[in-house]
Amino acid sequence: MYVMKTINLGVMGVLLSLPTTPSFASDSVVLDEIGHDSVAHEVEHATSSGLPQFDPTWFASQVFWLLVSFLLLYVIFAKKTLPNLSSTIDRRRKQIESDVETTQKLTKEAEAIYEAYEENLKDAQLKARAVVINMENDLKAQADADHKKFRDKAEETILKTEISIEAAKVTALKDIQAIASEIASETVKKLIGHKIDSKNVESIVSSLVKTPETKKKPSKKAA
Amino acid sequence: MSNPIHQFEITPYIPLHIGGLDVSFTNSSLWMMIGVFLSVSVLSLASKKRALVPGRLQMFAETLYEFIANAIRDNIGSEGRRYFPLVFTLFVVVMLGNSLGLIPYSFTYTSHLIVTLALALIIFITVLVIGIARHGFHFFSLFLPPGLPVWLIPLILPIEILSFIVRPITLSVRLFANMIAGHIMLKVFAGFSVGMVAAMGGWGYLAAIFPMFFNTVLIGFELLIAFLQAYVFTVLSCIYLKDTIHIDH
Repeated sequence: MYVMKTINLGVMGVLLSLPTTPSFASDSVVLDEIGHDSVAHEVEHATSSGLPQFDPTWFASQVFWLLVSFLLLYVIFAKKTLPNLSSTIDRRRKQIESDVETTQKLTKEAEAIYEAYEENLKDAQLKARAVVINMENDLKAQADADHKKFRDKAEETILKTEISIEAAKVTALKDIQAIASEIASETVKKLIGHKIDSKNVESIVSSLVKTPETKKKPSKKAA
Repeated sequence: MSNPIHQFEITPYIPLHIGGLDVSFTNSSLWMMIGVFLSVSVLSLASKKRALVPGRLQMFAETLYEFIANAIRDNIGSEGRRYFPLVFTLFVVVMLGNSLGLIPYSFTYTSHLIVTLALALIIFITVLVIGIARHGFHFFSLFLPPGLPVWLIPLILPIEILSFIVRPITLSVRLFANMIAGHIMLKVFAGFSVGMVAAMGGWGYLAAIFPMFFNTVLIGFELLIAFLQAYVFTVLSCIYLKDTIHIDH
C-alpha cells in the first residue's frame, strides 16, 4: 500500500516536472530569434549562474522570511480568525437547529388545534342534527295533535248535525202523520158524514206509513 | 526583458544579517509580506462581523474554512481538528504564493525550491516530532505494513523508510516544478509577441495577437494550476499528518 502510494507520487513528480525541459528548450529558441545585445547579455548572466532557484546566496533569507510569514499567519489565524469563523458557523448551526425545533413544535401545536377544531365541528354537527330532529318531531306531534283535534271537532259537529237532522226528520214525519190523519178523518167525515175517533185514524195512518217501508225493502232486494 | 528566467531572480531591498546569515529583505520577502497582509486583512475583515446571515466576504471566508475543514475531515478524520490552523495556514501561504505570482511584475515565491522545501519540511518535521511524541518508538512501526512476512522485512523496510524520507522532496519538487514551468511558459509566449514586433515591425503587431491570445488562455490555465497545486499540497500534507494519529499496526 505504502509502496504503491510512493511510486505513484514519484511518477507524478516526474510527470509534473517534465514540462520544464521543453520550456527551457523553447526559451533558447526565442532568444536566438530576437538576438538583441541586451538580451544576449542577460542570457550570459543567467547561464553563468544557472537558475536563480539554485543560487544558495538567498536560501537563508528565503527560509527566514517564509518562517516569519508562516508563523505570523499561523498565530493570527489560530488565535483570531479561525475561532471567530468557527464560532460564527457554530452559532448559525445552533440557531438553525433551534429554529427547526421550534418549527416542529409549532407544527405539532397547530395540528393539535386543528384536531380539536375538527372534533368541535363534529360535535356541533351532531348537536345541530339532534336539534333539527327534535324540532321535526315536535312539529310533527303538534301537527298531529292539531289535526286530531280538528277531526274530532268536525266529527262531533257532523254527529250533532246528523242527530238534529234525524230529530227534524222524526218531527217532520210526525207532522206528516198528524196532517195525514187529519186529512183522512176530514175525508172520511165528508164521505160518510160521520166523525171517526181521531185515535183510531192515527193508528191506521201510522201503520200505513210504516208498512210500505217494511214492504219496500224486500221488494227492492227482489228487484 | 525577454529572458524567461529573469522573473525568478531575487533582488535584495534591505540588507539584513542575523548571526552571520544573510536574511536581507528581498522581492521574495516583499511578496510573502504582501500575502500575509492581504490574507490577514481580508480574513479579519470577513470574520469580524460574525453575522448570522453572512455577506459576500464572510461567505468567502466561511467557504474557505469549510473547504479546509472538509479536506482535513476526509483525509485525517475528526482527530485532525488539532492540525486545522497548520493546514489552513499552509493552504493560504501556498495559494497566495501561486496566485499572487500571476500578477505581472510580481514575484512567485512558490517557484523557489528552497521555499517549497521549507514548507514541506515544516510538515515533515511536524509529523516526525508529534508522531514520536505521541507514539514513542511504536511510531516507526509505520515502516512495517501489517501482515508482512518476516522474510520480506529486509526488502520492504528500506523501501518504506526511503518513501517516508522522500516525501518532503516529492511534495516540494511537485509545487516548484509546476510553478516554474507555468511561469516560464507564460514568459516565453509573451516573448514571442515582443519578438514578432521587433522582427516584423508593423505586421508584427498583428502577428503578436496570436501568442497574446494563447497567453490569455494560459493565464486561466495557470490560475487553475495555482489552486490545484495548493490543494494537492494541502491534501498530501493531511495524508502525511494522518500518520501522527492513526498507526493501524
